[in-house]
Amino acid sequence: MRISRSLLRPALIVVAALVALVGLSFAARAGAPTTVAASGDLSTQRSAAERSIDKVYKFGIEQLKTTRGLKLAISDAQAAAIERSYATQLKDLRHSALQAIADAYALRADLAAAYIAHTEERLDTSPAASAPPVMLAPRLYQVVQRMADLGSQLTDAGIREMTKAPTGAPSPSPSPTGPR
Amino acid sequence: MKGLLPPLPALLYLILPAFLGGVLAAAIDLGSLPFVGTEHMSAVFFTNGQAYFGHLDDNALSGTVTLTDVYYLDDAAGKGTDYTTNVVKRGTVELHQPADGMRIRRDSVLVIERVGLGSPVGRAIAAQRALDRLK
Repeated sequence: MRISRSLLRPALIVVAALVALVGLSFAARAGAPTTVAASGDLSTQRSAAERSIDKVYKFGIEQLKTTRGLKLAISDAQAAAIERSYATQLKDLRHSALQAIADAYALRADLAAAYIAHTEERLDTSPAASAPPVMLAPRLYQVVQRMADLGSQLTDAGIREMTKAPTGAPSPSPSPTGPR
Repeated sequence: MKGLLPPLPALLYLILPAFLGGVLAAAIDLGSLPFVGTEHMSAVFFTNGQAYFGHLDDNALSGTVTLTDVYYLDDAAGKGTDYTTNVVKRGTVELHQPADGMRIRRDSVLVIERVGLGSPVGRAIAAQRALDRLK
């Protein structure tokens, strides 16, 4: 089949126009403007994440302390040991969360260690300063979310351990009217 | 040129391009042009109350709208965060790891709004992008 020149030219023009349109759409997508936070915003995000992590930590410590203040079935020495053990675990958890933040900010190992030590000291010594609310970047939110989940599990476990009956306590005798 | 174009009244050669130009200009946001504009991020609210954020591709000829670089809100109550909700990037926590955006049926969309780049959601997404670049 022979295509006449008068048909070929319009067909070529249409194909060229389509190729140009596809190329333009790819270029437009590649060059689409996107907003990226400045370093100042990243510092604000890091402070907000540290604040949230510390809030979870201090809430857990407070819960353990409140439980220990109750009239418990175990001795005070046992309760103190349990509180100390779970407080240490909560502190380790906060340490891991701060390590995850250091990873998110791609800090080198030595800088990360210095950052964690400095932040832990600051959080332990000075009360949390009030700051305008910040919505966390998804990566930092994951860290805070994990800290909150594990922190509440640890706190619950500590409270359960403090409030359980002491070992060797008499168990209830079987009911004589129970099903046989 | 004479052989290329179909025989039409001369006036139509002016009216048709002007009409097409008008339609295109109405659909293009000059502030969002590639390489020169600012980012145009949209919030898509569904009729069932869900909301997703991302770059919207709204082709009038299609029965769906497409959202890419998608984020949504997660309940953050009791997690120690400043807000009771927080943005999560779609594709990072779902078991099926959706990778190429969302195609959404038009009839399930209630409202489409532009996300302010200085809003808490806009800033959180911008911070996520900055963190991604640090890797």
